[in-house]
Amino acid sequence: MIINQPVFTVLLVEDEIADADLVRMAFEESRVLVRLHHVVDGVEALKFLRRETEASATAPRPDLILLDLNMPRMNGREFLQQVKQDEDLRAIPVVVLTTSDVERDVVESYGLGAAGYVVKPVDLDQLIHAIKGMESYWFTVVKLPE
Amino acid sequence: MSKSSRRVLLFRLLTLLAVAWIQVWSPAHAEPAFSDVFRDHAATMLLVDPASGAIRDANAAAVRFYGYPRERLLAMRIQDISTLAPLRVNEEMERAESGERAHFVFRHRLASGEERKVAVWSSPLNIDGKIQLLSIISDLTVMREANDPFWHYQSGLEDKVDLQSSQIAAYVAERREQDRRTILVLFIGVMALLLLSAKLARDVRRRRQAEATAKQLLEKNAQANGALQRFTEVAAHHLQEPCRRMASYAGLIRRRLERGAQLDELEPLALTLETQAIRQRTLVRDMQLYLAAGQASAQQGVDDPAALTREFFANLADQHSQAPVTLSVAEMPRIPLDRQWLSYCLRCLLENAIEHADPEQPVEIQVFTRAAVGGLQLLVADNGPGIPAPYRERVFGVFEQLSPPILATRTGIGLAIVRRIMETVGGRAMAEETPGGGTTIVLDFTREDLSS
Repeated sequence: MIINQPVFTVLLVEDEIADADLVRMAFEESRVLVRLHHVVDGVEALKFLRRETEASATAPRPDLILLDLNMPRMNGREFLQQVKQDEDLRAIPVVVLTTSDVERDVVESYGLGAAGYVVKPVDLDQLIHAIKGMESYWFTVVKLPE
Repeated sequence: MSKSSRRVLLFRLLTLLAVAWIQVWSPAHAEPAFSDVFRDHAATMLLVDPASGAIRDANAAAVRFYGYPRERLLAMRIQDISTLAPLRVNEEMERAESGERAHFVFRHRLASGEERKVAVWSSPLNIDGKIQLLSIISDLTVMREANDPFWHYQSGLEDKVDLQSSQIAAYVAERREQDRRTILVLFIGVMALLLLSAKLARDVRRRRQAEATAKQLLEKNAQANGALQRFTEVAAHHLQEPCRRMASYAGLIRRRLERGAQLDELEPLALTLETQAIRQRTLVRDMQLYLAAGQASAQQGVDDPAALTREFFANLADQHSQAPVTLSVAEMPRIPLDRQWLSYCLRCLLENAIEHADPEQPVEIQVFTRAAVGGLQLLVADNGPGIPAPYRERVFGVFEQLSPPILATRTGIGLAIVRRIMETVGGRAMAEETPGGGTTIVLDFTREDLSS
């Protein structure tokens, strides 16, 4: 049986449109079928998760969150803190997807409850490879909460 | 018995007879008789006040002996005549007054300056209810000269005593002089020590002040270095972003070209490449500005801030806003910030007010000053959506924005540069809510030392 409908839902929290487009294209190029929702900062992401926006009212709960760290209003660290303090949301794995390879950011992110930390690759092929790796791990190997 | 001894005895006898005559005979007859005796007697006689030593009366023999005019002699005290120290003279007078002793040997100084050894018989006498000393003076010098062999030994002893006394006096004087010099040296030493102590205290105080200043400068330097370190880290991260995107989009274009993509399919990707290149250039420019803001100056100031504001507004209003924009500029005093830096602040604040305005309503911007204790404040107020209270401080951070950048030329450093300019010249930059809604950015030129 061929499944041509996306099974998993990913929330991409990214303020830079060009980067969000790159991630979307990387998913397309890697032929990973996911429902990809995009919000521009932590405030919008929390609203989405709490179904306070029109787009999120009918959308399924995300299986995975891809999170940028540097964003306006509420940055990735603050968002991570909020999610991990929320009883309803803390089970959702959050993978940080950022340009920063500073050790302090890595340690802090895991300390706040991040499930993974991926540095945005310079090359598109590497990004596609990273997306495929995430897909195989999170959507194949790992059992996510229902 | 020698001749001179007989003369002394005779003299004593005469004196005793005179005193007895004065005291035994009735007071009614004594006063005139005493006066006559006193005045005409051949013996040298003085009436002396025992309390003060003042010479109350002197007979003609006394005037002749001492050589002073009578009036002058009566204006003198016995201490002026005697070579003894005044204290010693007083002690001897007390003895005479109490009757403890009646015979004394002194040296008296004559008007000619010559000193004579004299024998003095002194007895208290009540005259008109007042005790006075009747002193009968006998010149021993003449007697000694006349009986030189008899007095030779005594004179020799006295000369030796005189010599010893003068040596002692010289020694005492020398010691006093030495003491005076020692005290002077000690005084100078103490003063020098005091001056040295004052100088040391001043030096210590200055050194402490210098150390405190140095500590403050070091702390300030450490803070500045820390801020620059954080800025460098964040800047490095943000500078990588456009580079990475350009590389990624270039890779994407290559993949599409390999698949034979059409030009219209590639155009948005090329546009993103161009946008990221512009963003990179703007980031570098703004970082340079941020670093240069650390050298901002307020030496010259701007005398016509209202004209400068209108000039910038004329260039900006048509560029960014869909809604009509109204600028209200009040007359303003001189702003203590050099033209280059005030220009940047005004341009940044006007651009922000226009760019973040509510597109559904006309934009109103007001630029004015208000007086404050310690200086003045320059305010740029808009009627836009405003900045929620939790973000009013945060928007002054480097690369901090409240929404994703609309334009590639917006880097999120503008307000950080404005704050750095203000802090460099000793002022502050802060955000307030405009009464009725909107954002007011305050450039505060007040100084704490003036306001306090």
